[in-house]
Parts: sequence; structure tokens; C-alpha cells
Amino acid sequence: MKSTRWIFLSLTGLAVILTSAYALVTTRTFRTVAQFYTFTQGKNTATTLAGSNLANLAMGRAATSTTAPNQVLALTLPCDFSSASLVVYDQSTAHIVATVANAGDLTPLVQIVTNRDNQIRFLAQFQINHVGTPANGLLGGYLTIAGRLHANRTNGCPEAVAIRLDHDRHDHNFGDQDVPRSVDPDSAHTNLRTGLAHGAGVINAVQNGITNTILIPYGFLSIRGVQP
Amino acid sequence: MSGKKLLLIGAAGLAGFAALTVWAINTANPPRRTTASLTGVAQRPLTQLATIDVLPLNSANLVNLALGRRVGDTNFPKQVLALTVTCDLTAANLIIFDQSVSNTLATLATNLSFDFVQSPIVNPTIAQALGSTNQIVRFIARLQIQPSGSVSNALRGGVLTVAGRAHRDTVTGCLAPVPVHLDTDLYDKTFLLKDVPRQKDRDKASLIDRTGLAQVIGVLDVVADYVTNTVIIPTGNLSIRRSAEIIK
Repeated sequence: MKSTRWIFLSLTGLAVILTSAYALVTTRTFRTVAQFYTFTQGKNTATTLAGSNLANLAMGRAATSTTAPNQVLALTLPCDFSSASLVVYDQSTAHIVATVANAGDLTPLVQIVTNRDNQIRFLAQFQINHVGTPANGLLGGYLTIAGRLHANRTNGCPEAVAIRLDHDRHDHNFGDQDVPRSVDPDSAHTNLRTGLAHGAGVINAVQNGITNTILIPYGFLSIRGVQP
Repeated sequence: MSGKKLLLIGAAGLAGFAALTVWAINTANPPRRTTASLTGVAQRPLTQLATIDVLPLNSANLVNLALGRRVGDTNFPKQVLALTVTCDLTAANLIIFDQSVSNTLATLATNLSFDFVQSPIVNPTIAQALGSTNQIVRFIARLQIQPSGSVSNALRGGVLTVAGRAHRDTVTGCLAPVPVHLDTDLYDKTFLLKDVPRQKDRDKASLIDRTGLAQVIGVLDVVADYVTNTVIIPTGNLSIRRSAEIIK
């Protein structure tokens, strides 16, 4: 065999190894908008907690602050779907600036659909981190989130698809729905989405110096395009 | 008043207080018959194809697996699922209650955490119907599935997050059923809370009273006919009904 052929084969092999290694170690960050219905003690009226409110509290700001629109809620996922994190991502510096919650024991199920992306169903049990300041912050709690995602057929990594292709016949029954722009604005006019999810949980938070337990009987998330 | 008389009254008062306290804690809890309609998703176990199947599960299926029987077994209709919640609202458990002997057979899931908020508003319609005060409690419980069953059919573990609403008797503190036509809530549709239809999970007793409704999200590790599988529950409904001890 000619040496050029050996070099070609070696390079191809190396590319395959590098691609596999990339898929194994790479974690991707997806812009995520959210709407959670909440109840607090002594009130029988539900209020709404948006993804932006969570990001603000995690950064120590008042929940409704509008001073840092580039710091947004995002979901990080490794290509093997072994874990997940809800983070605050700074779009102006392209860095994660806080971690809202971690799920170390993601349960993923994979369905391979011929000629399409792989479909992933998952259940994540997020533990809310202690982040923020003594005046405004998150003190703990948990969110149980169930949802569905698209994954690349070749490397297995989660990836966004055109929104018009991102639908599932169980969305309505499972409570998966997109988040209205009026509830949690997304400055990017994206037409991409990686998946939808919904969940329930409890968040212990401090807002303007007052600590409270916030019940979330139901909420939903729209997992959108990958962040740079 | 003589010293003896004071002592007697004091002792009687103390005994009465202690008895009331014990009663309040122990009355806790008639287990509430609970029907379920869960939608599970699981990877198809018997083929090499990566395919996700949708599996309906009801309370009878869960009870059967926990007692080591085949998931669709119909030989023990009086062994039913029930929910217990302590009257101080600190813990909830899912149990298997045998209505033929009025006894708890096994614990299907134990309390990991129980959080609640209660409305200060007494529902006047329900108060009038019951002749007493009544409050709406909104709760979120995290329950750990207990390993149980046999080699062939079992529940090996898992976690359920149960988010719902229930009526609470403000005198005893315990959750209490109300006539089902009064058990409605503004947010039921929004939070996907609904009753479990009879054809999805059979309850021998007529649905006259109900304590509340809840929604379930979680994951179960299941053995069914010797095949182990992880079943994600993206959604499910619980109907928390009357005392499990009573069959009307």
C-alpha cells in the first residue's frame, strides 16, 4: 500500500477518534425560557416565575430586575446525557456566570428514528443551589423536570432543529408547551428549538430580604438554540 | 380550692391535653383510597431497536408489581393503593391497603420531603356543606419507591414527585374528603389536575367524596416478567378519595 493511502487512513481514523472524544466530553449550553406557576404561604392565587426571574435571583438581583438582559437562563447537557445543569449564561461574554441547579442523575431514554434526529426522553431531578446575595437569592429546593430533546444521529449530542419540525404527539398530554414571549422574553428571534419539558418542585428563595418557600405545582420550559 | 383538688384538675387537664395531642397525631390519617392513571415511557426491552414505548399504568398495576404479581393480575381487587398524610402535614406515604382485613400490607413509597402552602380563605360552600371549616392545601411531596416484589415482578426503586391540592379539616388538621361536586379548583385545568376515569383505574366504591387531586412526575425501576426496565413517568394523575377502610 502506498504511503499516501496509509496517511489518508490514519487521518480518517484520527478524525473518527477526535469526533468520538468530542462527543463524549462536550457539554453544550442551550438558551432556555421557562414559565413556572407558583404558590406561597397564605395565598391561594398562583403567580408566575419566569426564567429571567430565576436568573436574576441567582445573580443576587431583584427577581424582576431588567438591568442585565444578557444574563439569561440556559440548560447545559453533555453529549451522553448523563447530567444537566440550569445555569445563568452571559450572552455578552459567552460565559456561564452562575449555576442555578444541578441534576447529577439524568435518566435518558433514546429512540432512534430512521432518517431523522434521535429522540430523547428524559427525567432530571435538579437540586437548586445556594446562590445570590443575602437580599436576593436562591437558598435550595428541587425541580423534577421531564421532557424530550433532539440529538444528532452521528455524534449523539443534543441539537436544535427548526421549530416547525419540533413537535411530538404527546406534547399536549404530557404538558409540554412553548413559553409565551410575553412571560419570558428571548431577545434572539430564533426559529430553532432543541426540545420541550415540564416539571414541578419547591424553591426556597430570599427576595428583598424576605425568605420564602415557593411551591411550583407546574411549569414548563422551552429549550432553544445552542449558545456559542 | 384544696391542694388535692388543684392537683386533680391539673392532672386531668394534662391527661386530656396529652390525649388530644396523641389523638390529633394518630387520627392522622385514615389512609385515603387513591386511584392513579400514569403514562410511562420506557425503552423497548426485548429488541435491539432503540424505541420508546408509551405504557399506561394504574394503581392496580403498581400494587401488583409491589406485591410480586404480574402487572395485569386481577385476583386481589381488595388490595388497593392508598395515600397517607400526617395531620401536621410533614409526611406522605403511598401504601398498599387490604380492604378485606382493613390493614396495611406494604409501603410502596416513603416520604422524602413534603412541602405545602395553605389558603387562609375558608371555602364557604364547603364549610356549609360539611358543617365545619375547611381549607385548601397545596402540596408537593417527593416519594421514594421502596424495593418490593419478587424476582419476576417487582418495583426496584425510583422517585415520584406528587404535586396537588387537598382539603384540610381545620379542627383536626387532617386532610378530609368533601362531596366530589364541591371538590373543584380554579387551577385544575392549568395544572393538568383531573380525576381518574373508572375505565383507567377501577375503584369498587362509587365516587361520592374526594379529598383532592394530584399530578405525578417521576421514574420507576420495574421488573415485569423477569425483564428489568426504567420507566419514566412524564405525567400521571392521582385521585385521592375517601378513607380506604370504607367501601360504600
